[in-house]
Amino acid sequence: MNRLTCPFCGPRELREFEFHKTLPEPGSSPYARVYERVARLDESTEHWQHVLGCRAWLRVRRNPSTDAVLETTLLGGGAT
Amino acid sequence: MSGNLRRGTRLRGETLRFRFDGRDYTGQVGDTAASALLANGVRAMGRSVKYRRLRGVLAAGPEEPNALFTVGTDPCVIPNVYAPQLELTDGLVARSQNRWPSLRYDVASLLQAGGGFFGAGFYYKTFIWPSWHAWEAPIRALAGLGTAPRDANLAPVPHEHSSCDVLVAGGGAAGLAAALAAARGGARVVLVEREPVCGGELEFESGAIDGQAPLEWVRATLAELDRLGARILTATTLVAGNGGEYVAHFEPGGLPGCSTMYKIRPKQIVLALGAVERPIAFVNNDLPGVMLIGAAERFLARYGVRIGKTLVLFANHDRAYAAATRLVAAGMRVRAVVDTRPADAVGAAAASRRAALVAGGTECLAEHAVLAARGGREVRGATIAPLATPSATRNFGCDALLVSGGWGPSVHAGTQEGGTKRYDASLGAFVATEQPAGRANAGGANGILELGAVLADGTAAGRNAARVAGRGSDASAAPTGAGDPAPRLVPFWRSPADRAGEKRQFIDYQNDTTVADLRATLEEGFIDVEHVKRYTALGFGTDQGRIGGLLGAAILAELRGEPLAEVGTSRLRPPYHSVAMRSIAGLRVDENLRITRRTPLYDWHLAHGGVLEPMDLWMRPRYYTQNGPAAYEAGIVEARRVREVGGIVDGSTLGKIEVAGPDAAAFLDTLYLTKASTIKVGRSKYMVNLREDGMVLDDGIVLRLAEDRFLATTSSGHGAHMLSHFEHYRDTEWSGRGVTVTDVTEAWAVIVVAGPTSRTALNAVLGASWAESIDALTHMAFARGLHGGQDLAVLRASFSGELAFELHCRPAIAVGLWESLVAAGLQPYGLEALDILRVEKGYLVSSELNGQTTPADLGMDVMIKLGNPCIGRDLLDRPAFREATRPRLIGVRAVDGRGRFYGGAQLTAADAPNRPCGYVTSSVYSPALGEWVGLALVSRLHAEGAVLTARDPLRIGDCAVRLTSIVHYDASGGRMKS
Amino acid sequence: MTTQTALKSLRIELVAHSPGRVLEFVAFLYPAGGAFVVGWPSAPGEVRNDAEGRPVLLHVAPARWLVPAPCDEITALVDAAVAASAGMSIDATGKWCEFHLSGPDAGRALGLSIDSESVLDGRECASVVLFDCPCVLARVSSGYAIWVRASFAVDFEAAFGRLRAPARDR
Repeated sequence: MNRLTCPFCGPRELREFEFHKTLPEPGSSPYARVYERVARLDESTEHWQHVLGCRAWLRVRRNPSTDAVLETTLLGGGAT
Repeated sequence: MSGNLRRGTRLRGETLRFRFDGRDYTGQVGDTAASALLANGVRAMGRSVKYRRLRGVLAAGPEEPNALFTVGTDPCVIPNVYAPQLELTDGLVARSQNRWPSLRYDVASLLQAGGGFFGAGFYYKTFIWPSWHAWEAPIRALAGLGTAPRDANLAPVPHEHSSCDVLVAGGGAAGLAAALAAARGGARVVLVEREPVCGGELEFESGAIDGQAPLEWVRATLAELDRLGARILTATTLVAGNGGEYVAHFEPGGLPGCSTMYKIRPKQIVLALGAVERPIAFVNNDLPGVMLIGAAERFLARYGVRIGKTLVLFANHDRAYAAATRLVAAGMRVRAVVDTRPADAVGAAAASRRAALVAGGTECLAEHAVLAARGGREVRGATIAPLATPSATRNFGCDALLVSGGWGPSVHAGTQEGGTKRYDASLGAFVATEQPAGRANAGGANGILELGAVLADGTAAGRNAARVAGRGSDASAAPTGAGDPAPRLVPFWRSPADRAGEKRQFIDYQNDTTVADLRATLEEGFIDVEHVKRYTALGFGTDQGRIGGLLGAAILAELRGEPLAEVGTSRLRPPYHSVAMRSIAGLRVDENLRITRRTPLYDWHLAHGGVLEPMDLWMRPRYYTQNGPAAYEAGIVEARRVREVGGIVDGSTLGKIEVAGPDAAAFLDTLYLTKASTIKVGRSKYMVNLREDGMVLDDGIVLRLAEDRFLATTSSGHGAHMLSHFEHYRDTEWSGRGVTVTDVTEAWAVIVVAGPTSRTALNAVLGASWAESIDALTHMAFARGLHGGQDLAVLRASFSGELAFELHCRPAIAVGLWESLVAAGLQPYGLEALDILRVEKGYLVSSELNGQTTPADLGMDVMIKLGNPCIGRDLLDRPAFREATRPRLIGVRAVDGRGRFYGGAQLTAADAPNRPCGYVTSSVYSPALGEWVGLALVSRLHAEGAVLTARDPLRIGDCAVRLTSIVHYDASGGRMKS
Repeated sequence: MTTQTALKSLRIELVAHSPGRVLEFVAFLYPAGGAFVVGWPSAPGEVRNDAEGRPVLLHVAPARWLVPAPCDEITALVDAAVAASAGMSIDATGKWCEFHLSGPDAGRALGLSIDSESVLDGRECASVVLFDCPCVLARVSSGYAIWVRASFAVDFEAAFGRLRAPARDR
């Protein structure tokens, strides 16, 4: 994985994006949300920002063991 | 062998002069350093890294392990230049490497003459007393390839980013056929070829394509590719691939670092990188004059170099006979062709060539091997024996010994990214198999070694690539060709030798890995090919195992008694050939691309004595030289002047975020510890952000510009991070709500006007129209209007403890306003003074916001008690944050009023002198108080009035200090409210 | 055959334009819906040009439009969107510096930072980083219009200046 497809900007080099965090399991406590993030090998849902492009925040679903990006969606905009 | 009578496909006739190891030579335009030296009769071109054995050129491409030169004169040199690729230029100066004092006499090579060879693991096992470090310096001085230049004085290497439909790597028969098919199908094609001209083996192979001589076909194909708009990049090597982006390195003249890095993203790539010839291990197979058969053919065809007068060829395949035929035709005497195979294993075409060679006086020996090369400084003969009876040796006189053990398809680039390979017994080599989507091999890289089949394979790969890339499919006829039939080959790796001889059967030339090393390594328990690689350095060199990798693996398999297919070869890694560090650095060398963010006042500061220091990408004045020789002295002068008269400081680097929309207030309420919604329009508030874990993230002033519009300021170093933080919450929890976040950092320049005369000066500068509103400003209130036709906001806020204002103005009027304030009697001050003023007043500097302090630690209990449910608020109630030993911000001063203590000093109590109970976060010499004052984070067990020791043994020693209120100066705040 | 020349002197021209008032309009929702979208370049990277072909409304990021030279017509459009509670208009005067890049090697100069062809594939503008400087890049008839964050503008110009200057000879 050295490229991500920004839903707004199209495919861009990975260096333009900044990883923020792996999302916690749904329903976690505030403590768990900060400290008990699980690094899953099969599928990881993460927040990234296209910080050197349109600055949109993205939800990236990917498989860390195959390096495959499964889905990249815009977080903002109200579409959720 | 005179240099000027040679004729070769690359030679242009004109004579060039060059210098090698201090001697002058001539060559021709089109020569490489290696070909010109060979033409001048120079055989020895370097020494090996470990044993310092004298070495000649072995190969004719970037797999060359021996002939690596240092080009240029000190200090402007380029080390590790491949001599077979170094294009000759007039006046070129080159020297050999790994020798001292000269190539001919090398002191370190005496090591091998004295005590015999040191085998694998010698360094690991020998230099352990008293420690490796004691030995490291002298060993390092002997180790390594070449010497790094002290001043290369080269232009930076640009990186060019582009994309295309089909990238073809390799401009030989397969690559050209692939490029042609893809381009005819309408694809945007880029072809990279590492040599300065395309053609590959077609440069010397016999045969015909579409009825033309091979080189004629190459010319016609390049012309058609040009017409079709294909981009042909010669002297450009594919060095690495990563996630669909391929790095190709343009090195004109073969000089590393004088180049362009192309970063190409193709939809499809065809790897047509051919196959690399490998040697056979026999005793002294590293003597100058031992060369790969294909290299000798290239030197002859390209540069007209006859590699010797009398040759012996040693091989295990049919191509040896075609080569011998061509060498004889060029006027060399081939004394013998030594074939390891039985006579009946030779193919029909090769057999007829053999017959002709025999008729011409060449002795053709079947089931024989060269056991050893003879000679001292270069080859003088070969020792040959039947494989069945190795003791029945015969000596053949010769001045060049050409060897070929077959070819290893270039699967290198193809397996870096997860492609697989399989062992092909007929080739005695690994061939690429499954490739990731978007990638295909063609030609020699697929193990195809017959011209017609190579062209067909290339055409098919090119057509398919164009089709998959979404372009048309080419229907025109594919080039057809016929050349030498695919060579029949029986794998043969090493000639028989006794244990002493195995120490001189070289596998990896650059690292002096021998058969004896492999045997020793196995005996010591290193069995896996990857372990063997690391223990013996097999495949570590600049050729990345292309010469010795497979050979070593095969001999390892034989010693282990297992099939080569199971032993495998070590993993191939990028880069394909050595890449200069400066090429990777690209334009980011020296001052290039060292980005500085400038405030509108940047030039003014520089022109008026400002000494700038970096903060993130910004440069801000630390102090002004007219106020003192260094930051310490000038800071004191500037800070004192602010308290006595006043001063101005550039605050434009503060991060500024405009938060607008009907939900803006509610949004900010979640981002700050206290509520923004309670701020009235026209007023501002000092606010603090928390991280999710409750620690303080940043602080700043938030101005309410309108009911639905706020301007949030962040600290200068946190601007980018805070913007992302705001944007994250807007795009997640607040997605779809009525709030927008916009970075307006550059839209507002900030001038802080502080000191007792600040209001007077401001009124003088802004004029009567502003006087009333400025006089009416209460603490934290602001007024907005126009100045010089541009927006201006005047905020009454203070981080100095003095009466102070922040002017937020459009950049267009910043310099004018600043200069007017100077004319009105206010001198600029820098960050040093700013810090002094802040610490005197107990305001946070920056080391207090270290990601480990909660608002309670920083004395913000009042803010917490307001109970705003902001980000991070949940986690503030954790028990550990209420422990009695939790650190808390407190003031600190020397007990005697004279001692010094610096930020970072550890604080200890008398009852536990070796266990710190806190540390000093910031300290300054306070001109207002005439003593050092500071802030510290100290266990809550120690209250104001306690006496501790500030311990700083590496800088200034101990100082007895007393804990005080954090506000050192003007505790009542009377000055600020004046 | 394609010739490769060292990047010693690119045939490019970079002209700075004097800064004026600049707005950014930010919508609350993305994709923006309702009546407000009429007349707006709504696709990612879409640009509305004026009669002279100058970009006047650039869709640079989700729900964000750069208004580099607010004329009456565009101001009215923005005001109407604000009145319709579709979003907020931000006065970003001073935030951006405008440049025009032209010349036969303009594309190559951009290629030193980004693959401009693929970045601008199917769109007229894009938010990019050129020589480490955050920019909005737009294709115009004469080459490229580039809006650079003002604090980076000096180094941005210097980076292009070095491409024109001859490199030190070896």
